[in-house]
Amino acid sequence: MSEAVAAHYTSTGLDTRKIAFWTFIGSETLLFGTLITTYLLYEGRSVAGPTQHDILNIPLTSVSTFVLLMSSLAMVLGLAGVSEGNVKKARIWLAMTALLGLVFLGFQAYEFTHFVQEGLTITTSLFGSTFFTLTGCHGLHVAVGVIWLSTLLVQSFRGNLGSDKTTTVEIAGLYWHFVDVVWIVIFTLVYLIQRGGGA
Amino acid sequence: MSPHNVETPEYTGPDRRRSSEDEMTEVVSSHPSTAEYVGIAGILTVLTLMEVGVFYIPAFGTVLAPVLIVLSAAKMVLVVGFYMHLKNDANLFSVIFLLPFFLALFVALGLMFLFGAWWL
Repeated sequence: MSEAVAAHYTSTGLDTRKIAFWTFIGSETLLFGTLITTYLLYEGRSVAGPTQHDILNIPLTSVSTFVLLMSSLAMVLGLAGVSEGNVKKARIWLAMTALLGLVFLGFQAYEFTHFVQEGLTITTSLFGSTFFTLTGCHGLHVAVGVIWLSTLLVQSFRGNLGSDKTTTVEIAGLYWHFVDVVWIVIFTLVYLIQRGGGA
Repeated sequence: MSPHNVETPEYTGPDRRRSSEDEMTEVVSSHPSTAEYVGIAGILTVLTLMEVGVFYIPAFGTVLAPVLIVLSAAKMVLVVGFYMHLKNDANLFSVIFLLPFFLALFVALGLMFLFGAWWL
């Protein structure tokens, strides 16, 4: 194992997997930066309704935001379980993280369905296009995270998630927390700071 | 001789590589405790409640956006610093993350200025 582990290190002394993943997160930052900027540029410029003032449900989204924040807590507790070699603790909290991610996706599915029923689709207006693209892309990232966490759970039941896999779980945690950070920004800029009169 | 048995040249420079045990010890010791993690979650919850609260208070009016951005930035710093361990991790990770972050922020502000959406 030592040979395989040593192969992950560079002259910096840092794990290459973590360097690669932080680089990936940097590129994701640029992706979401682009999507958020596009939303902000077109905000309030729709010529057809409904607008964000008519349709966004702040209480509902506040609850889903809280759910995602708590999933980050569950994730770090799961990582702590893995690093301590406590398989039961790791399983419980990783499963809780995935479950809270699914709950968040449920909120988003409800919100999207409601919006479509209210007449807002991705082709209705600039607001619809930019809103669904941004939040849909984020939701897709949450879904990928849930699948990733599920694979870690399967690994734990196969006995392959010991404390030697701490970095592996930490990298999954980096992804999950980044998705949380993106939602923190979206919740503020899209839901709470609503500009422009729209149609 | 199998290719897998070929010996690699011995590394003679400063040994900056660490064993997996060293790494695990370092990872565990540099990470916050469970109590700290729960405390951070509590602060994040309070900040979120404050965000939603100020949204519904008409008195905030013109300062609503700056207040919300400050609260949001505080939440980001807490998650990135403590949950993503950037606070105690190698500086190189901070550089790798913050360079594109500020590039994205600079481009966003520049585009909003150019397209007349400079209202934040």
